[in-house]
Amino acid sequence: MSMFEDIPVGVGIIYEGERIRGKDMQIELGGPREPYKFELVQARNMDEVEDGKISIIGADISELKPGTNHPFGLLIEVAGAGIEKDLEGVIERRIHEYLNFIEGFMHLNQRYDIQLRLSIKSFEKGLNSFNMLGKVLQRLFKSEMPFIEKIQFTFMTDLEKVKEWYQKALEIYESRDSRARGMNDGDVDVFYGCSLCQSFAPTHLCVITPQRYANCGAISWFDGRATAKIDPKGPVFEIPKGELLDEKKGEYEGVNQTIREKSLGEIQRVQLYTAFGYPHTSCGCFEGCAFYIPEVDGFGLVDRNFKGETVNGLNFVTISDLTAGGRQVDGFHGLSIEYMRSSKFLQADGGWSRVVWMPMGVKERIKNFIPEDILEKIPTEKDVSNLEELKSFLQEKNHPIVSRWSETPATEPETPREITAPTLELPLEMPSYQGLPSGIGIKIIMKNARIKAEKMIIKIEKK
Amino acid sequence: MMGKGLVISVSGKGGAGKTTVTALLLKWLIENTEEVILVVDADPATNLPDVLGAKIEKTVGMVSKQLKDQINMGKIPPTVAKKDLLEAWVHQTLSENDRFDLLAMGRSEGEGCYCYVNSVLTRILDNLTENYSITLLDMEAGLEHLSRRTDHDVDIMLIVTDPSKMGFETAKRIKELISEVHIKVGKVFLVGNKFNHQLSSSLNSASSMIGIEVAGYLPNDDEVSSYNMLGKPLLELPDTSPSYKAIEQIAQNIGLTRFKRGEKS
Repeated sequence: MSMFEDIPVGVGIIYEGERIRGKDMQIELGGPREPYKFELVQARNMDEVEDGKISIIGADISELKPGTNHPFGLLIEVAGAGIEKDLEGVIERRIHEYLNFIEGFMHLNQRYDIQLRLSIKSFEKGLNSFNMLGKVLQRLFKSEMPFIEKIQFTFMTDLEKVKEWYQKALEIYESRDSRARGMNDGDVDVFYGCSLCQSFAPTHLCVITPQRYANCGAISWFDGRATAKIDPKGPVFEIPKGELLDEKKGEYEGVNQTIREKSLGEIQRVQLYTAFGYPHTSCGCFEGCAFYIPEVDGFGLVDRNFKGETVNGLNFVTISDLTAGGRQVDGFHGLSIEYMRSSKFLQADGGWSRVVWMPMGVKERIKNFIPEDILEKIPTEKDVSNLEELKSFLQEKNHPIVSRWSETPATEPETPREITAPTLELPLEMPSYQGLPSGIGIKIIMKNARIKAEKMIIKIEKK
Repeated sequence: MMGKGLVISVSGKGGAGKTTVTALLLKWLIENTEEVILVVDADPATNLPDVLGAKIEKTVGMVSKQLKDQINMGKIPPTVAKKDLLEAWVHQTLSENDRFDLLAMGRSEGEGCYCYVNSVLTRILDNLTENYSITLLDMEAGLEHLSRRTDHDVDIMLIVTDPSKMGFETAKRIKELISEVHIKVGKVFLVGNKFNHQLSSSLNSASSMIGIEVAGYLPNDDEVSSYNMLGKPLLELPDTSPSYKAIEQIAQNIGLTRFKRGEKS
């Protein structure tokens, strides 16, 4: 790459994933033995950034004691007409990738957990100053992210300086996270799909949005973005949102299209924020389940760790059998614990004011996300153990669900649109089947037939 | 510089001597080549660190569970990519020794869904092995780990057996399994452990019956037993030990001499 002629070692994607062994390293910056380390990107005004400026506070690479770890901070300040605060995190994630492009350089983790190693070999080839790292980063950032008009770097190895910035950085990450928690589906153009579970549930696809985690709880929208980027054709991929069809229920044209394609036509529509009608399908490994309790017109929640019986007498295994398999089952809804923390949690069905029971373990974990006025009104296994007790508890605490009971007519879940077809008898003109004795009439009964037959019974009738 | 290295796996019946063969083969590689070797202990019992005299603080199983637990507790900041976290943690479980790095897989997973964690893990492990010109895998008794955890192909598979019908049966089953799981295996060899000259003919007839070439056999070696008894690393076994002599022959038979100092072009 001619772009890096003045850099004494190779720079390129072929060096990504290189591990520098402890024995081969010139220096380690940060790492598990070093309490003070960070990397941080900050958006600034145009006049606050001097493009290409590289500052070093503390010892440079060549002055650092070889073979051991050092405190380290990297502050990158960017400016540009299109640069907003929200891009800081996105730009920051690229440091990992770009530094790993450098031959003999390893970068692991992120934020205040970074671990960087430079190999003796590359050091001896002349990679002995942070100036060179800065130059590589500057060129990669500006060519890959043209919206960055100005970029400047501050490398810190001076313990006091690193400590000072480390504290600032922690606060900045924290406020960035609370902004991200507040990120809405409307703030992004793409969602992510995950088909990792299709080996268990061939028609299932998880739709991952900023406000809805994958059912397994492991994949956030940000994970989706990171995973899809390295392998766009892999099991985690982009879903262009397309037209918003129903805001409250969370239905998008792009999502429907992708679902149709990935479920091979089995699932036509998905509404992300309801357990009725066209609910999001469930794989087999969801963290928890919402289950409708018709007697009180509310939802129970149960998670995988709960070993006992829920308030309606069913345990997790039974409920999950009713839910799993990539189907759309009215009132049975697989979900992640993280989704319970979302402001869109079952929003079309009434959200938390529709939840009437949950195990104590889950309640404890997510209590900060349950509206305060409802928190004490949701009983656990400690409070009630059957539907009668549940009803009186809800009444006693004046749970908002109680007001639904008096409403007339009671809001029933949408009735399924399936119709039970009458038993059809096919005409007598039948093709001859090999192996059947001749002269015997056959009757074909199609049971429970919708678009295609679930079962076909061929009966030989005795005359 | 980066690229696919040679992957050797050692499997066989439980107790047949997989760990002994792995340790002695490592000793041979350390003494005869310039290569830095990645050793993977894929047996959940995690015995290899002791046999090699290496320290393991955490296993891969432990860090995947750690990730899973933190996910459950909602402790991972929303914008932090879990794959980057896990990558760093897996790297940090590596026990770095003078000539080899040791990765212990440990016991796999607890409850709940590990689909995502495992798919991320596979990629991380593949990536890691590309850093080493030789990877030695000490497998658990079955082949399950191999098909589930590491996607990459195995170049040489050694199936270790002791002089027992069960040992031969297991070898036969492993050979059958190879064709069923989706991994590609280059060359398969049978390695005897605790055989003497008389019994070696039964090893040969078993090998021709199963259809696997014999790479050699380790004798019944009191010195190895006493090292194991005392918990002394097998890497310290003297070069004159009969087991080490046997490993030299095996290394030659499976084609490792091309890595020997001075012979590598």
